[in-house]
Amino acid sequence: MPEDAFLARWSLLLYAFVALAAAFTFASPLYALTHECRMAVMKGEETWNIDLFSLSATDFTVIFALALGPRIIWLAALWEILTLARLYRRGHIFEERSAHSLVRFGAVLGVMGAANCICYPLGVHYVYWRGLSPWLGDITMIDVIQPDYLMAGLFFIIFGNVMRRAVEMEQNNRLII
Amino acid sequence: MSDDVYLKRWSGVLYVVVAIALAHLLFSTAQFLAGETRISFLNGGEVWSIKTEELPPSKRGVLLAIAGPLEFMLLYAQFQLFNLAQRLRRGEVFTDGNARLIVRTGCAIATAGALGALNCAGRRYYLYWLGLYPWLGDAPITYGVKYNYVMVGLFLFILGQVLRRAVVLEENSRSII
Repeated sequence: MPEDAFLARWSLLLYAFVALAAAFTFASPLYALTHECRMAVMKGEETWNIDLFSLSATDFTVIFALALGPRIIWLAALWEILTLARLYRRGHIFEERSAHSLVRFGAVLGVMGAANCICYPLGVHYVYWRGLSPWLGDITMIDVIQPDYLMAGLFFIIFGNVMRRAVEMEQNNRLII
Repeated sequence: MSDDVYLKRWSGVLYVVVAIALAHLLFSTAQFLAGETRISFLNGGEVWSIKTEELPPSKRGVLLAIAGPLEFMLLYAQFQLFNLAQRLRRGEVFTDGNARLIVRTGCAIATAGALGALNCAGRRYYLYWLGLYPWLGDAPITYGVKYNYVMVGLFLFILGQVLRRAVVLEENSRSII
């Protein structure tokens, strides 16, 4: 399939934004690791916070992993976008692998959305269970329900399946021609 | 399961998830106005925060107006997705209208991502001007930009263009038949 100049140009811009998004995804954990790494939990008006460096290696690892989890999943999503940008740049638009990649991107976003929903409550429960925080912090509905990434994930899964149909159409057209 | 049934079912789920996202956005706005939200800023290692109930309603209104353009863009994107889910449920898949909706959603999400900086800086300067926020800090002007949103927005814009090509493909396959 001949290259599509418009898509090739915009996919190139997508490369740049994937790089920016990746850099900023890890900017704050890196800053925390090199400067100050605190966890704060609130209950009503009271705030409890702790310097993570003062914790044992196990507690530090668990809490840091919970904070970092969704970001690592996000890296997988960025990888899928990079794959798609590369495919579109080369003109592989209506191909099975593009549609697969789109579905995978949606699935990864969905998993990230779910991780976003559970990581904060898990962290709050963990510090209470380990006896680090004096009380179990507040977990509001707004903290738990984070529908943005779930919505985006679902959309991309649906769109990936729409693209599968387009791939079939393209193959049929080619056969007829 | 036939493709149409699959699309109808999943578009129905998308419908519900978009409705939840919409409710989430409206609920968090209502909580902000009711004084239940806490605004926090980090300067160096110091955390400064204020609960919106400590502010008179007029000042809460100003803060909400600062966030208004961003919230409007998110609302707009959600309405576009709502429309798209409706069209997919009706079986309208390869249409120029759908491509337009996806492009609009992408533009709205990318703009919302960029407006994150305006929201952050606007709130900080306003609270400093009121004499509540003790230090303005040295955050760069790009602080608050949601690069994830900008990237997903750009990707949706590209997908809209891909769908436009799929529409042409479908028209060609119909004319061949």
